[in-house]
Amino acid sequence: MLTNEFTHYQPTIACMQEVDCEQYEPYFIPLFNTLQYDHVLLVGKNKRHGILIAWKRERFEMVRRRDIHYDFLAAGGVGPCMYTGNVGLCLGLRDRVTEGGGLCISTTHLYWHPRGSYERQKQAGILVSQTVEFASSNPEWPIIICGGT
Amino acid sequence: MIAEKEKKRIELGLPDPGAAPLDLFNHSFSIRPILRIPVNKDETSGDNPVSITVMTYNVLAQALIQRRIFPASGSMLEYKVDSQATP
Repeated sequence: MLTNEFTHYQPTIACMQEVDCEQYEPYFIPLFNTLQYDHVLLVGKNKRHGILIAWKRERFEMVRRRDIHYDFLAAGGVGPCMYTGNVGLCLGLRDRVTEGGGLCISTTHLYWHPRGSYERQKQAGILVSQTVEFASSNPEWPIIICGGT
Repeated sequence: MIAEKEKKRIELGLPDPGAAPLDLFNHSFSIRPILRIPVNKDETSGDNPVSITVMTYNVLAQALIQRRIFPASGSMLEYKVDSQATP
């Protein structure tokens, strides 16, 4: 069903969360190759699933990448509090069609616990600050941040 | 001999053992509209702005599916069934 749905939409850029590590090679890699996507997968330490950004190969080229491991970063003056294994991923994609064009795309999967609002807030803050800093190398490129919990 | 068995099978209304199993899983999905993000026309480049579509999707890792969390979901939690929806 996911194959049907993804084939139907074929977005220019796709961000996925909870990508199962065991299914990554037998399912996701062939899916992206068939539909001509390049992609990057990031898995947190001790996790069995990860986050992924895929883009149409004919349209974009990845030029920069930043892996964001929340457990090792501070949000302002607030340092790491607990181990979550959550990660964020930020890519700089150069537009092959538009001269000088491109964008920064970030995705993440935030802390899961229903009472973990504080941790999620902290992680979201780190994601935004890291993405903005990452995007400063190409200030004319728009920034897109998406993801889930 | 085989033709007689086949004839008997049809008479009894039994299923063909060599036929592919019926696909009872619903592979359809809800088609969602593409939402347009307002664009400041002053910031678009030239007269031919290009557009892109962005999708975000939580694909529900099988590794996170546990019976104790979803006690009422029946066989949907089993990989052979669940993989027909998501890998």
